[in-house]
Amino acid sequence: MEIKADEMLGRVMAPPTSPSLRREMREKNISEDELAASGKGGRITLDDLFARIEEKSKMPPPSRPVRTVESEKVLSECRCTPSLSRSVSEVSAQVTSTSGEVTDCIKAEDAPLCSSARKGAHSITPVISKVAAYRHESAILTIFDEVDLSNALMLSKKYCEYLLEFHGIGFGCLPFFVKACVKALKEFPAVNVSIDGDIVECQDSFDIGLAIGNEKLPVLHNSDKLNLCEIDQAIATFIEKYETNQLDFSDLEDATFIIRNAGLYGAMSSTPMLNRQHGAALGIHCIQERPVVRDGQIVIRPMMNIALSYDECVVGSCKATQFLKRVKDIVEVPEEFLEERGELL
Amino acid sequence: MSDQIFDLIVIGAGPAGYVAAIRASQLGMKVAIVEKRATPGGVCLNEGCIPSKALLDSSELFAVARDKFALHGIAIDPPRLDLNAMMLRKADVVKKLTDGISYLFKKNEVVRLHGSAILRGLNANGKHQIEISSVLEAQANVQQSLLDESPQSISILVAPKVILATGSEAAALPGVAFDGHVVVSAREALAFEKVPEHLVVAGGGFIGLELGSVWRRFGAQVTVMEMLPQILPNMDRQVADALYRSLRKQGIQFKLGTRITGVRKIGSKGIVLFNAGTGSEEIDCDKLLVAVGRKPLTVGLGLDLVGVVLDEKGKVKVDESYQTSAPGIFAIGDLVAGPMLAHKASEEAVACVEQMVGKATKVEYEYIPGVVYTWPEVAGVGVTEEQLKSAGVSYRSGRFNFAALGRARCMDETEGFVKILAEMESDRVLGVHIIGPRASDLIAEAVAVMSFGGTVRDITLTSHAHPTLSEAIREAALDVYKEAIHA
Repeated sequence: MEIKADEMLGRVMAPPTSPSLRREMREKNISEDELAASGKGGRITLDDLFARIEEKSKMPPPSRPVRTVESEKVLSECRCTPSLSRSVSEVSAQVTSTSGEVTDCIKAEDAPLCSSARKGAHSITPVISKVAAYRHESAILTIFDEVDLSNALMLSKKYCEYLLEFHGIGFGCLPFFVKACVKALKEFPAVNVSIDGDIVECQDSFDIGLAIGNEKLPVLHNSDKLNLCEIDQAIATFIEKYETNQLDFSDLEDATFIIRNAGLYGAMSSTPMLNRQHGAALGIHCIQERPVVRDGQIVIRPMMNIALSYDECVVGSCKATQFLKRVKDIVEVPEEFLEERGELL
Repeated sequence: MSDQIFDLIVIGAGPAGYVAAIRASQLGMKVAIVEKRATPGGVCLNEGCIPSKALLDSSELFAVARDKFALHGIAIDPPRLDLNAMMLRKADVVKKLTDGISYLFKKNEVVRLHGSAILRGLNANGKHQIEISSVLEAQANVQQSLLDESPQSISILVAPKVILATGSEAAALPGVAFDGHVVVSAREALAFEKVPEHLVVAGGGFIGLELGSVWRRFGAQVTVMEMLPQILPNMDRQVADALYRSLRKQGIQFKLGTRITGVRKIGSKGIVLFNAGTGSEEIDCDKLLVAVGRKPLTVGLGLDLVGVVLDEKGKVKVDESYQTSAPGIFAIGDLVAGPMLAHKASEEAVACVEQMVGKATKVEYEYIPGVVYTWPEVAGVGVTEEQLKSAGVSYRSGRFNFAALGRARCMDETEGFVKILAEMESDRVLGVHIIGPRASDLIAEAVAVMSFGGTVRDITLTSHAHPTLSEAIREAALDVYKEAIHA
């Protein structure tokens, strides 16, 4: 490619920069005119760019409320019932601070992308570093609870034996959780959100993302309109597509809520990973027979730990706790919602 | 017949393809790379940059021992050429480097397929299907020419994204077909079994000049024929003229403004027919090296089937993200516009793949250096003085001759100079052109200065170690303001 002298001249007139700065500016979508040059001879330095980015980040976001991050304080302000406060006995504030990597990750998120790259980026950018960056700048908390699956398992055995043929290990009760989440999301619309930068939007549709493997996130669109059987089949299809690497981009778009099944790997307990575009993520785990007390008697029940990670600034601890409690209650007595709409099959 | 699914398929394992595959794998993609040749590295590694530089360095040492040792006070019997050993060393250099790339593929879990690829359009899921006619593993070491007879297996690979990086091949002179014996391309000229008595080089570009230099040093009579009235037409004129004079001094003959009209073959020799504007003439030769340019390798890929459009020069049309007119199919390197340089191809590979995952990487074409590995070497970056004149840009220039430089004197490499062009008002460096010892290494400083938007003053205020060749750049910068100490 022959360089034209007049093109070259255009560059001469621009303030002096460096190759890394130019890439950084493209990724942050910041032009030279926005930057104050502090270097020798009118040179724009990386520090000038970082100063500008910080300045931009301090501008009040249009709709996202900024609250204090101190989880204890926020929790004490919530009016929790005694049973609720048991649920929040474990609260972890994972405001992890990370180093160098962070800038790199933010870039991948904020850069103006060509349409194909935007879609592709979702499935292939290392997720871990994104999460690290996100945690660095957000207050992500996790609450834990446990759920008794006797009824759910009995139901699935009793009514849907043939469904089990489709079930992979650990997926046996996932449809129950999907239904329970949809029902709870309807009651707590603040949890069913999508976040784009500083803009938080409550969603009317119930698009539940199901984490498979580490990175792929197929989405059950309009899952409120599916019955248990249909949900189960959709999940089976996703797994098959995942295993043959055939998940389409349309399968991966725009979840409003996430369910992560760490039980797939035999995990007892985990803090589900939360992406920046979601308000909350439910983590479900493996089922274990445990002694529990029912009516003053020690009985053995199939128990599962569940966890909910949420963005404190978007969902809030109070709503999150109530939401998780509601999911627990529904899954423990699934007949309630099944009878309500007769949507078992 | 089996389907294999990837995130990215790269066709061609040259400096564009192998870099794209490795970078994509680093970024988390599942990558397959398809290569016709048994070894990775493309033309650059197997029959271009690397073997030619191995021979250039060997021939340079030979010429130094023959012509310059006496000057340094080293008395030896005249050195004898063992061309066979030299070729074996060249092959060894190539093998070590191609093995290195094979290792990198393994390390980065890039799936490597030996065979040729054809685009077969989209499947039901909207992904690209690539048909691979694989050479079976047991046959992996057969020669290129035997490929057609090797047992093959056909398989289909599927991926949402495909990068075409098939590179280029030597273009033939109209009416003068390659025969591999008398009429040869650079590939054969790197592996002559004996020194030709008379080598005629068609084309005064860098490939012809470099290989002409190699065989001249071994004692061949070399005649370069160029259609244009000058060699290296895109280089800075002063530099190209200096090289022209230097090469002539080394005994290379030039016939400029000359058109080769045909070749008659008599036994193992040839008679080149040419016209220098004064009627048809003839000249005997052992070999005719045709180095009149390279053309992109687009045939047989099934490009028209999937709707990949070529431009009027036969190069693949791409947008800023290297996407062709067929969505999901990308092209980089010699296939697309721009100079056919390995480093340009590799940079495009990185930019193309990083853009796929949302990074804003771009190739800064204006700061890509070009090098001619003759001796003295020629290297340049940015605009030439001719371009500045024709664009009417006001500029200053500075120049410094290696003859006045201590280190160049010690090395007895006093030919050549450094020339710096700067914009008049801003003092920003617009172009640097070097002819002289190790110009290929010296140009790196100029590229760095220009990439950082540096000025001539910046160079003069930067410390340069003494005694080194790099001082020539600082002195040339000082000369812009007529302040050079040693001129």
